[in-house]
Amino acid sequence: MARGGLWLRSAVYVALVVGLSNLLLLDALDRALLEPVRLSIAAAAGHVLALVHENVRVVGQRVFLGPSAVEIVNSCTGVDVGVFLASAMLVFPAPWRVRAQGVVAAFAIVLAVNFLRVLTLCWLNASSPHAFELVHVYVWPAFITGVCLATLLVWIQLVPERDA
Amino acid sequence: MPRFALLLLARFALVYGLLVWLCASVPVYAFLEGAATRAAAAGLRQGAMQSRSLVLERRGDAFVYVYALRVGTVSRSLEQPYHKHAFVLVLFLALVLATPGLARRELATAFFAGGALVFLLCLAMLMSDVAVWERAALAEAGVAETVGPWPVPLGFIAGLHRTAAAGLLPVIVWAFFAGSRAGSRARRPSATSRA
Repeated sequence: MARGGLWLRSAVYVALVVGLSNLLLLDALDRALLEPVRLSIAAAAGHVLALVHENVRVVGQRVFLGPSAVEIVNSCTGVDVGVFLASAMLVFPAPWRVRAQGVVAAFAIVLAVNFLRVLTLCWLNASSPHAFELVHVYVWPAFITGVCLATLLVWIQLVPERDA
Repeated sequence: MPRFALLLLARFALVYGLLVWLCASVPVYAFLEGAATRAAAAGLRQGAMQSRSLVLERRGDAFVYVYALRVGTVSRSLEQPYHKHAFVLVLFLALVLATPGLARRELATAFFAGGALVFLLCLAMLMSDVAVWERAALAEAGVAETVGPWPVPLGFIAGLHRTAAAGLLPVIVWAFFAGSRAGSRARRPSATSRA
């Protein structure tokens, strides 16, 4: 990408992300998209945790391990992270087929990693609340950032050179 | 590029770990948040019928924002828990420091100019928070229409702040630069290949 193109793509990306991040706050989108995702993640986490832990309950979007509960809120779904990573692929100069593959891969990777994040946080919340705070605030955000970075850099490499 | 990506990630993990340790050892976040609070307070809207002040106060081991507000006959002093907006800055600076192959000048530009832009993002997030507190406080007092604490639009920041975008935005923009730089270096013929 030439310097000028780089600045333009970055500006388009910032505009797109600002628009989409505000779109994600709309009640209608929350009800139609994010709420089912929150409930699905809570249910799936409950099923997986029940394999290794006794006394697991799921109430709506809350996952209980014994008396301690983790509530799956919008920032726990990974949808926002997926949207922002996919947006980067959409604005990058590449054939549309490659962009579409990137978008699918971005969501698959981010949602899978995010699910692992939810499982570890549910487990830590029950076993070590101090570690929960540390891992929740410092470890997972940086890890997910690293995953997004790696996914984007590897995908950029897969873009045919003449289009980059 | 996979080698570049791997190297970048390994270095990022190391530098980020060091910065987090540094932030835990010395009050870096409180310093940055204090600077952001002072910058935000400097631009607060003041007038004959309105006055506002914002400070970050220490309470024991913790910090709180104290936002004093007087609009017409409504007067409130709001205390809100401290939020580490500067986490985004730490993440970005760790990434810049971890990027392999930057010349000193490029590194300095990215660190200071990029860091300043990300600091502005952190500042905007804090300002967005304060605008929300003020709107809620005034709505509670029966004042529906307000001009807001700053003469700048902040609505667009809400989405960035309440999703993961604020953290990812500088990282992905940086990845565009780092990716394109690594790509052009890989395509540039080396002295050996030219010979």
